Amino acid sequence: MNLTPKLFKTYAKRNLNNPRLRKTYRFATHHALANRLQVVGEVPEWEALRERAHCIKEEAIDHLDYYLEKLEVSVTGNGGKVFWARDGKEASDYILSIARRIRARTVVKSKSMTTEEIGLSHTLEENQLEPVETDLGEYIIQLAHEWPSHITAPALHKTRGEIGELFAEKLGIPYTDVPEELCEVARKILRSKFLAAEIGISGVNFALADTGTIVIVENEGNARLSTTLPKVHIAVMGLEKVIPSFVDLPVFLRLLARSSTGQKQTSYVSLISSPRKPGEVDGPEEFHLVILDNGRTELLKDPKVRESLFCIRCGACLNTCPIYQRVGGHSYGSVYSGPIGAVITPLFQGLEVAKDLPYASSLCGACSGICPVKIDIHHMLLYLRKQLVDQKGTPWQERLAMKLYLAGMKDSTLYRLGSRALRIALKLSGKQSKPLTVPGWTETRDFPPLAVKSFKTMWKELQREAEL
Amino acid sequence: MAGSRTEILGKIRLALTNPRAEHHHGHESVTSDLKQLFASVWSRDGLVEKFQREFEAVSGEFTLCDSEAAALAALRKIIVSSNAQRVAVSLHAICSWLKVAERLQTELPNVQFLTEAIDSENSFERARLKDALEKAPLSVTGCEYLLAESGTIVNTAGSQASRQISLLPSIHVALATPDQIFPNMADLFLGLQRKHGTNLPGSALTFITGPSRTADIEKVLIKGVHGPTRLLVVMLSA
Repeated sequence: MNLTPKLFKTYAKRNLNNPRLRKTYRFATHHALANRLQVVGEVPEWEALRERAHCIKEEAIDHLDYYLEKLEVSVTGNGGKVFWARDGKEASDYILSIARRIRARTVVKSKSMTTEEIGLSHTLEENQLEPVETDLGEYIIQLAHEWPSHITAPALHKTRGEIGELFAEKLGIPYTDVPEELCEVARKILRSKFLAAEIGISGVNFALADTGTIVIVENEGNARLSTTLPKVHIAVMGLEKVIPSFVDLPVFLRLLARSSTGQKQTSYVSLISSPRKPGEVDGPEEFHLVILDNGRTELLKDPKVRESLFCIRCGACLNTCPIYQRVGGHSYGSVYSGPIGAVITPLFQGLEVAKDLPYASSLCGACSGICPVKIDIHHMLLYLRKQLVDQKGTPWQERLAMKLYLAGMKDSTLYRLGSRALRIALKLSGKQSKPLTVPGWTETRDFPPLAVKSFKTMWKELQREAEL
Repeated sequence: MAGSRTEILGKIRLALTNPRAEHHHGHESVTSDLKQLFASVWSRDGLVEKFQREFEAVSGEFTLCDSEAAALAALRKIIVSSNAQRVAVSLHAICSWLKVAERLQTELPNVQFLTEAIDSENSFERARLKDALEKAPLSVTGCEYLLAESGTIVNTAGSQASRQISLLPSIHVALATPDQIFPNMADLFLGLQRKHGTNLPGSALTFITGPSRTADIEKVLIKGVHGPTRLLVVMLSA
C-alpha cells in the first residue's frame, strides 16, 4: 500500500463507506477514551501537570541547541555514541554501516514512529538484512505489508478474524481467531528472533539531557528485549524528544500512559543510560543514539507551529477526534494520523502535498482539550488553512457568498429582505422543506432547510395571540 | 557526520532567533514544585497497603511475610505450584541474605537452581547465562525500589542483577521490604538525584508495573506477550 496525504479524500470516502472498519475504529477509540477518563479522574493535579509538561517542553524546544549538545555530552560521557542525521537516508546509512561492520543479519525492532517515518525497515530489507518488528501490532502489519493506523495501536484497524487469516497464510499455522493463541504463536517466533539478532533498534520517548538517558515506554517487553539481548543497541530519536532533566520525567510519566491507554503506568519503562558496564552480565556492547532532523528544524522556524514539536505521541487526540474516529488512520496518508498528524504531516512533507489535512477537522477543539502537553492543535490547523488560503486564494463564488453574508449580517433591513426573498424563491421552486443544495458545498455537508417562518414572524404571531 | 551536526545545530539556532526566547524559568526551579504536582500521592501513610492495592490492580500477586521462614515458605509454594523445574536466582543482596538458592535447594532437591555468578567479562559465559535464563521458567530477584502510586517495582541493572533475569522467565518473583516503597515517582527521582546527582546507577533502570501485556488484537487484554506472564512480590516485613 502506498502512502500519500494527497489522497486523503479518496481514502476517507472509501473508509467511510466501510461499516466493518467504522465499527472497529468506534470500538477501539471509545474503549481507550473510557479507560483514560477513569484514570485521569483520579489525579487532582491533572491540569497543573499538563501545564508543567507544556512548560518543560517549551523550555526544551526554545533552547533545543543547548539541550541537544548537553545530551550529546552526557551520552558520550556514559560510553554511548551520538550520530546526527539530517534526514532518513543519513540515519539509515549509518545504521547500515554498523550492520556491515558487525556482519549482522537479523535486526529486531521495537515500536518506533520515527523509524516508520524514515521507512527504515524497508531500507534494511533492501540491503539483505532481516528487520523484524517485535511489537505485536507492528508484527501484524509487517506481515500484512501495511502501515500503522494509530500512533500507539498500529493494528487497530484489523479484526481478530483478519489477523487469524494473515497468520495462517504467512506463518503456515492452522487458522485460529483466538487472540491468546495468536499471541502465543507470535511470542514463540519472535523469541527466537530476539535470541538470534545482532542489532536491536528502538525509538525514544524521552531523552534526558542531564543524565544522558533514553526512556522507552511500552507494555509488551519487546523494547526491553530489543535493547538488552543483541550486542548492539541503536536508538533513533526525533530531535524534539530531548527534555532538560531526569527530574522532569515523573511529570511526563504521570501523564503519558493515562492519556494513551488509560493505564496508570505501562508495564515497562526503561531508562537506558549506557551500554553494558564492567561487572554487568548482560546488556549491549555498543549503544548508538541517532538524533534525527528530517524536516523538524524547518518546522522550528515558525513560532506559530513550533508547539507541535511538544507532542509526546500518546495518541489521545486521535482517539477523541470525531474525524479520526470515522475516517480512520490510513486516510491521512502518513504514519502520523489524527489531529496531530494533520498538523505535522503538512509541515514535514509540504503544505501542497497535504493540503486536505488541515481541513480534516471540525475545529471542535477536542484534540487541544485532551492533549497532555496542552498543544493548541486545532488553532494550528486553522493557521495552516489560512496559509493555504493565502497561497491559492478562495474561489470567487465563496468570496461573493461571504460578501453577501457580511452585508446581510451588518444591516437588519437587508437581512430581512434577503431572507424573505430566499423564502419566496424556495416556495416558488417547491423545495421549501428540503435541505438546500449548494454545488461543491453540500456534497459532504448538510445545509439544513430554511424554517418556513422566520423567528421574527413567529414572534409577532405569538405576541398577537397573547394579546387576544 | 560532523557536517550534519554543525548544519543541524546551525539550523536550530537560526530558527530560534525568530524570536529567541529567554531562559524564562531557570530550570533549576522546576523541581521545587514537583511536590505540589504529586500532592495527592505524597503521603507516606499506609504505603504497604497502597502498594498492594495498586500492584494487585495490575494483576500482580502479593504476599506479605513477617519472617524469613515465612518468605522462604512462600517462595517454595510458588515454585512448587508453578511446577518450575529450573529456577534462576539473582545475586541481589536480599537473595544472598536469605540464602534463597541454598536453602530452597535442600528443600526442593529436584529443582535446578542457577545464579548469575559468572565472569562478567567473559562473553562466552555471558552467552551461556542468557541461554540458561531463557530456559528457566521462573526467576527470583530482589528490587531496588517500589512505587505505591502505580504498584511499580524498580530494578537497576548492575552486578546484583541482570536486565534479562526479570524478563526472560515467564514467572518473575521479586523479594522486597517495606522500606523500599516510595509513595510516587517524583519522590523517588528527587531521592535519586540527591544520592547520585546526574550519574544514575547501572546502565539501566527498569520500572515494572505488572506482567507483560498487550491489547493489540481488538483491545483484548493478553498477559505475557514477550515478558513474564506472572509477576509476584514477596514482601518481608520483619
